[in-house]
Amino acid sequence: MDEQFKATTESHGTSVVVRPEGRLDAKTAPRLLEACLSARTSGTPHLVLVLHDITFLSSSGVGVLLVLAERTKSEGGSLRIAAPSAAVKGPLELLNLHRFLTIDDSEAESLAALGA
Amino acid sequence: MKREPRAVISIRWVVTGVAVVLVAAAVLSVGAVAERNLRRTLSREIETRLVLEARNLALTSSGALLSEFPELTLVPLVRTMQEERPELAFVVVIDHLGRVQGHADPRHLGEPFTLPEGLGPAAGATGLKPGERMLASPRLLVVEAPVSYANGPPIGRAVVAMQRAYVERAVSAGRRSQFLFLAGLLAVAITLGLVLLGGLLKPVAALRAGLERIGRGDLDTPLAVHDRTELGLLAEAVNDMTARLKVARTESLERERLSHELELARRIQQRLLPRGRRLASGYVMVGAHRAAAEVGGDYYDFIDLADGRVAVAIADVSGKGLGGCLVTSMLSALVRALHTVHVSPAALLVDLERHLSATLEAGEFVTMFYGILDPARGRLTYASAGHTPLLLWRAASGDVEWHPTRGIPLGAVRGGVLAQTLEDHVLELQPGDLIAQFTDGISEAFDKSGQEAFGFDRVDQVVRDHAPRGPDELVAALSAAVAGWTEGDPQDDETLLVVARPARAASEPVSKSKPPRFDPLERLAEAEASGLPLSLPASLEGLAPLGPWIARAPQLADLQPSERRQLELALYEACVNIAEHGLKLDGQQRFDLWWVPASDTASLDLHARVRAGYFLLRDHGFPFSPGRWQPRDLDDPGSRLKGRGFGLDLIHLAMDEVVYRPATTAGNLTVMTFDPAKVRHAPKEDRHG
Repeated sequence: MDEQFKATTESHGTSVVVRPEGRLDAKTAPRLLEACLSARTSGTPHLVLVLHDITFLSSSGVGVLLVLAERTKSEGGSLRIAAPSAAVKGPLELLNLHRFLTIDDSEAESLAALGA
Repeated sequence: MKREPRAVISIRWVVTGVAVVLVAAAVLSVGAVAERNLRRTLSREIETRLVLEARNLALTSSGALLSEFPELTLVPLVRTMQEERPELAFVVVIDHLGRVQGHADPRHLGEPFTLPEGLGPAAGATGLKPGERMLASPRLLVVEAPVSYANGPPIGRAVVAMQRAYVERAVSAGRRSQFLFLAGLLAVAITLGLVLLGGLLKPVAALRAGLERIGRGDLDTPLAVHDRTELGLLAEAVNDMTARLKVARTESLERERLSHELELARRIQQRLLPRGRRLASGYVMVGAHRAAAEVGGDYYDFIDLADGRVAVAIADVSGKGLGGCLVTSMLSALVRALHTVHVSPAALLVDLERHLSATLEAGEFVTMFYGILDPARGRLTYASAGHTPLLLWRAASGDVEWHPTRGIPLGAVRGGVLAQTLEDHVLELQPGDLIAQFTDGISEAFDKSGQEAFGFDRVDQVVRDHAPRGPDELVAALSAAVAGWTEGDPQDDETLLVVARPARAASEPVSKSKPPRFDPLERLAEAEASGLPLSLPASLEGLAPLGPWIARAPQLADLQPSERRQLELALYEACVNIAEHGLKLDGQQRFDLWWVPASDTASLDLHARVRAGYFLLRDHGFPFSPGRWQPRDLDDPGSRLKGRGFGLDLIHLAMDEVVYRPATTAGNLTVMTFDPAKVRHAPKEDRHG
């Protein structure tokens, strides 16, 4: 049940795009957080999280999304969640958080919105 | 356990001892061999020399024997020889007749010479010339050499004898030096052995000291033994082992710490969560909880509020373990502190978040449901901060309703956003209705393969199947269903709360001819138009007309006396209430009572017909607050009696439905229905009936 956590990162202008794969649970969520925080620099305050390949999102995963939302905001940037899988949408909608996190249907949309 | 110190035999001494023994054996055996050789050599040497001496003497004596007076030459010669060579036993020169011609002692001159006794031919005599003889006895070694002149026949014999003791003495001397050599060697061997061994065995001492250190628990100091023998390898192996032991020990300590933490968290949780079921005004509240291995996340509680209301809270903290438990215990304390402050569940949740935000870590949040149950009104007012939807099972239809909310969890988004998402919802509960709230440990419980979650649909189905049997049954069934689904320890805490409004008593079937819920104002109009009226004064003695009025009323008149008696009692109590509390027994004031029989009841029997009708009371006095009245809960040991009169109990027990609407534009209104079927008939009454 334990899948290895993988995430690729790349920069697009003022944003960093992070694509994690697999489960976002108590074990892997901190690693995603670390990966996102270390990928950002002062020149890239925006973060696009492509969650298309996430198979499971636990409360820890939700917590990490909330932290990232807050951090990016406090540093003058923003967090956009792109193409969330059903495993991601479910918990977010149940917790009514889908209205408070910026969610786009695709990575292209997120980048376009950021003008990158 | 103290081990007795064993007598330790130092390796050093053992090895040294062995070495000494070996060396000594070697030296001694070598020595023995050497001694034999020496003796042989010495003997040979001496023999040879003796032979030479004898020959020499023979040569020297030749001239003398030919002279007229040989003794003149020979005696001094022999004497000199013996004096110079003390080891010689005797030296004799003999002429051809066997007479002594040369002897150290002149008195023996001229005597015939005889050899001493015991002489036999010497073994191993070699190199003897013809005529020469070597003889030996234990004491002597004798060599005879013939004296000859030119090449003629022998003219005499030279005899030289030596004491064999001389040989022994020579050999002994050799042996003595050998002993000295041996002693010297041994001394060197011992010293060397001790020194070398000391050097070799020093690492052993270090090893031992190191192992003792490890035994005491010091795994941090490696053995510093840089030896190139097996001892060095041993030390390396010990160091490796120590490193692995250290890792294992750290892991074991970590495991112990975690299990201790879990135990603490579990104990805290046990103390915070209410046990079993609660009763309040006939409502049954049951909580069920199954803790996951990593505990600390779920919280639920029932809190008694004023006026018989009960607060119902259930929450799920996102953090687990001791950290989650900390939030849970804070939550419990805060809810208990704040519930008196807030009437609105949404307001309480907002306030809760305000107090919790300092404790919650970044990314940590709490989903929570908080509701206030008002048993008197059959109403639940609630707000939900991101919690699973509320489930409502309707007893009348058997339907399951899901009531989700839009609230986000506490602590999810900072900045006071929560308040915008929360609102109070109100649910009216009908008798027998049941609400359930559960944490997502239940809906998200995965089966053994980890592929499928239990899900809301299954919860829905279990509720449909088991709710009709009551809250305890439902809780047991749902708990069992989830336990069966996961087939093992829960992944997440599973908490379930069920609140059930009491159904009607079993003796009262829900009949189709039951009149719909009353709207008292509408009924008033109907009563005034077509009901049988009775105007009463607000005094106790003025209520006497009640009985006769009932006896004459249509349909009521046909009732059994016991039934009419119960009806009269109930109505009387209601009238007394109004007269006393509403109109303060002011005899001048009056109030109204109507009996409004149902129409369209030709097909029904008497009881059903009476049940289909209603009584309506209207007064203009002080309103009676129904909030203070609850049905007497005989099961609830903590039921409060304050504010309840026996009369009220009677009214509610005797009458079917009682609806009170105070302070309308037309006064205080009470609508009641009567079900004669509920009346128990005592045997005597029938006889008098």
